[in-house]
Amino acid sequence: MTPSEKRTTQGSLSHADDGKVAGIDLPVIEDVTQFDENSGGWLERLIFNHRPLVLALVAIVTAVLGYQATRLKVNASFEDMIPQSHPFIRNYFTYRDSISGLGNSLRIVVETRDGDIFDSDYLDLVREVNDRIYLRPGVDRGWMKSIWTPATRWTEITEEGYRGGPVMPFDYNGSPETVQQFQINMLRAGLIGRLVGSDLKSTMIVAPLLERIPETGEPVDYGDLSDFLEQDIRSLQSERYRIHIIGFAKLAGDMIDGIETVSFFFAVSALIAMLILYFYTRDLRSTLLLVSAAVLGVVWLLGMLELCGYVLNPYSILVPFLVFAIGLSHGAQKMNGVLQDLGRGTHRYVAARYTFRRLFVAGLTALLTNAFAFAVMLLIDIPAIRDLAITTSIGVVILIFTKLILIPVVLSYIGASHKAAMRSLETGSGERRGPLATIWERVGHCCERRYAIPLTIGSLVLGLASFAISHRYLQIGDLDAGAPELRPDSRYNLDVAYINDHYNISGDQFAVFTVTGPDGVREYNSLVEQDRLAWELEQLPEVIAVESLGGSVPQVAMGAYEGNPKWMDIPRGKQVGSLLVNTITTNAPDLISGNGAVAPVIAYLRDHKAETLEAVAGVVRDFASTHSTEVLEFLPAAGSAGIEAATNEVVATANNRMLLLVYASVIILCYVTFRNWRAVVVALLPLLITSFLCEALMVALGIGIKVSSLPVIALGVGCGIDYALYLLSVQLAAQRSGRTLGDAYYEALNFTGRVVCLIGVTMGAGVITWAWSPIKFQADMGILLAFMFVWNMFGALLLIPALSYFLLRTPGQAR
Amino acid sequence: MTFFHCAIAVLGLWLAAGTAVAGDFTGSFVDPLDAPSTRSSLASSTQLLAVTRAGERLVAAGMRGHIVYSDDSGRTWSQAGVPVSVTLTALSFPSPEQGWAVGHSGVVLHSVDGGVSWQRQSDGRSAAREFVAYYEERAVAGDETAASLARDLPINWQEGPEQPWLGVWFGDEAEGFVVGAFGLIARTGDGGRTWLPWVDRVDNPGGLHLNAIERIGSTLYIPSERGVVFRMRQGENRFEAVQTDYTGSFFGLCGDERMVIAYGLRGTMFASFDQGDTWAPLPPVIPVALTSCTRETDGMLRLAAASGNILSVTDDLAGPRTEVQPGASWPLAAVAIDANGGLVAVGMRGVWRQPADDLIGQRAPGL
Repeated sequence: MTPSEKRTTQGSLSHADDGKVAGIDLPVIEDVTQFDENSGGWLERLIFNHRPLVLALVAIVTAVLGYQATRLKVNASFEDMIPQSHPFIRNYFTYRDSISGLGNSLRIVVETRDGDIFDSDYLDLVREVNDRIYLRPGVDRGWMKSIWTPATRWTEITEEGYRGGPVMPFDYNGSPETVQQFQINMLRAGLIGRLVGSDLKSTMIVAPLLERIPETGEPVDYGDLSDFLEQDIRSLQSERYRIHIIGFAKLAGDMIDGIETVSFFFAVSALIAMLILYFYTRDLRSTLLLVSAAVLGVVWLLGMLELCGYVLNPYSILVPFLVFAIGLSHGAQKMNGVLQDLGRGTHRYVAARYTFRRLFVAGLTALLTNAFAFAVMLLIDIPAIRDLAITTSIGVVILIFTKLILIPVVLSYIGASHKAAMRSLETGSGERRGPLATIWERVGHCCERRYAIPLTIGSLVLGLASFAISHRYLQIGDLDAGAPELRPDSRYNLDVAYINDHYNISGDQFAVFTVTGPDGVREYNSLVEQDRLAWELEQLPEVIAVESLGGSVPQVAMGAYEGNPKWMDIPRGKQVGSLLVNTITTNAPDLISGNGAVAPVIAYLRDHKAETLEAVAGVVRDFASTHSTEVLEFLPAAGSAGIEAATNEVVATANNRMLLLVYASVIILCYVTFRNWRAVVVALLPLLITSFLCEALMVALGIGIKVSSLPVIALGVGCGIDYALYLLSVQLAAQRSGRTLGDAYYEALNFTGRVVCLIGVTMGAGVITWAWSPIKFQADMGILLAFMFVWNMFGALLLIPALSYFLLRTPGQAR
Repeated sequence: MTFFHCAIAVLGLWLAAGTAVAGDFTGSFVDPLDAPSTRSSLASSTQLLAVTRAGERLVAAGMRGHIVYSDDSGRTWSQAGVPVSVTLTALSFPSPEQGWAVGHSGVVLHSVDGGVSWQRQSDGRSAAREFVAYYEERAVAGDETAASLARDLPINWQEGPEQPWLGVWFGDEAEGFVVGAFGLIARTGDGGRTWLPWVDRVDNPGGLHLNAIERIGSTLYIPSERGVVFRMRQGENRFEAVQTDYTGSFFGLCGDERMVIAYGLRGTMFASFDQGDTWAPLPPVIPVALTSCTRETDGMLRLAAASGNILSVTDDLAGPRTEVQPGASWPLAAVAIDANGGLVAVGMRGVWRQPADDLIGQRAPGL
């Protein structure tokens, strides 16, 4: 068996080993009429003998999917980012509807930078904001609260009993007297820290949101709402008055805006990739073809997403980038083959068919491998990640059509410039000169002892050090303050910081549902237990405050008994208890469900770091297991922190399981390909080291393991294994045909090394633009993925030869 | 061998069943009367409602059965062991070792070690039984007041041991009173081993809340609702009602043989210069409830306010004069003088103190 024949049998993976293989199997045919149209497999005949039909079909599909793509909606869903089957989340889904204000409300703070809030201009502005919010469809007007809503009342205990009224005097007219009356009422109502900032320079409007607009039944569109808030509310701010807005609706709106920004990055990515490709091929015609084919793939993908009922969310927006990058880099190999055939004088139609014949199976295998690695992410119980897995897989399947079929067909029509074709032959045989070539030459020596030993030892040390760092310091969850989806210095998070500083609330809420029979939460036992849970939570230094029905009753009891502090306890009497509960729920309706069967105990946390959430979840679990009875259960969790606690738990287990599965699948794939355990180790070690390095990089950048960083290593390893497959398959084939390691690697380098380089750089370029995304997790993902793609490339080019020196030096070892 | 397998299988099933149950309901409700108060580092910085001296020591009590004591004028506090976790409302230490604490659910606790550990002497459950039985017994003997009380008293415990004690006073280690909601009152002559109801010995047909009990000079006073102060002079065996002009509640009462002050809602203070026979209002200086009062050795009265302020009342030839100082940033419920003459107050967020050194500096200009 000749080396070439040997490689042909192995060749299903050596994408770029064209010329020499072709020289034997596929004769150079300059005149297209001499080509036997009935040669090749059935698929090849089907495609190339009906080229106009294929092009017409592509045009029709493009038209249909392109139209669909324009209808694709952009939205950010809260539920997509949470683990659906975690017990905390199931409890959340079961009971969230019974508690009105748990989460989805807008908080709008109007701040004055000049003087204090006891100023008629200021109060007029707040009234304007209040009225505009009140009139906005989708706002739950009944529960809206601000200094201007009549439900905001003050009460005072007098000898005659309670006395009270609305905080904003009925006869308010802007006069100094009525402003002063407001000031007195505000103090009596104890609004500081709740609706009035602690420095008396701001007040808050709390507007709970409905799921659907009652007039139309349509779900509330967060993008629209966010636009309204910017255009109609924030526009009221001036030098003197600032407006801060927080709440999930605003966050979602900002994320949707972020998605739109990201679309611009796509253009930048495409441009960078085009430049790299042009540098590689030096042929405008083929560069344009490849880029358009890759863009076409993205259009189809977007169309398919719409057809499949997906919306573009902050996660799935990343899929087009990946698909574009994969499509481009794999397409470049197609091009390489055609160019080499053209260079040898083959007619463009024949060259295209040859390429198809040689590379279809190989390309299919490579794409399916990628798809498989992505599909592993389906095991993670978080819809956003599952959608990512499915949509990436859809994208990869689309690539089979655009890359494997469309590119050869189009090439058969347009061919490429003669210059580029000749150039590809030169590079293909390694006859290049210049500084790049010298470096290339050096890389070829990596399998020699003098380079192999330091490289291997160095990378092992690096890998172990990274492992140690990541093992010791890598954290679960979000590490920054504010909404983790956005950057710490985004306006939203600055607003969050302002409100946290000036009000006794924090965005990090961990809620536990107390669940009993109807009206059961009003009963003595239930109130006592709620207060006990609240007390246990208060013991944690991470807990700022705890709010609950049971915990509020003693306070209200004191009020009911003329403000005598000696009455601060939960009364045993049913009637008194129920009366006190009613007093509380008039002002805080979100502390009890409509039927009185559910009441949340809400802990406000200092931050949402993983240890904080673990500590709180631990206390809650212990309490729930010892205090839940048949009639009274404690079920965590709701609130942003509660949900994040569940997400962290799922992410922590999913991370290990997914890495295990990704590596298992890669090991199996490598073994099936190489049939050699030594080669599997050589292919795998660089990936492992890169994975550890990536984790160490996460530590250095302060990125925790979370929903967004979870897919990075899977995607990185799934794409990175390609490099090893390209290089090692050629190297092993050459070694098996009797070449020395040095020669075999040099050959592999020249055949496929350049493609590895090209893929690494284009994929890196495809994702690095995310680093500028306003959405923080996209930026994190972009940096990490770019690192994975590029570093895997270096790992493959330098470490595979170095490790081969130890493991695959002799022909016996390579067999 | 087979047996072994069976045993394993059974064990496995049991474990599986056990964990399944454990996942659901192992808990049962423990009443706060039966649940000892838990140790917490927050005990001295959360709701405390009473503070008093036990010799040199300070003892404070509050919500969740918390009792804390301090031997360094309130700088540092230790938590006492308490068998209940209901709110405790009042303390009395007739000697440095012996003390009583009372609170919700009718609980009466006793300490013989200066407040370090506490034992239950009585609670709403036993009181419900014993008090009713006492009056039933006397009703059988033909006492009509007792008969009506035997009928009416059980309403207080209809929904469990619900009524709180609001005040406690012990003159020595044997004799003491506890007073509370809806006119409930009991006396002991044997250091709390047995309690006899005194409801029939108070001139309180309306069942007004008895908010506290104090002895000033040789007279016992009980501040109550609707401007009523009950009074029992030495040698008497009933509390008589004295009506002031006030219409609201008095939360407490303090002073000396010359001047007695009763205080309550919205800064109300009524002074009596004739041991409670007649009362006259003092001008209010602050519109919030006054919750507690203590007398300094020089006769100055210190009052704690629900706003956190501390009021000082001095009485000189020109009449009583009141001054307000900022005090704590949280509502105060009780105030005491520490062994060095410093001020210690407790309230919603625990202990507030003004050590004796500061007080000297503060007073110097006035002297």
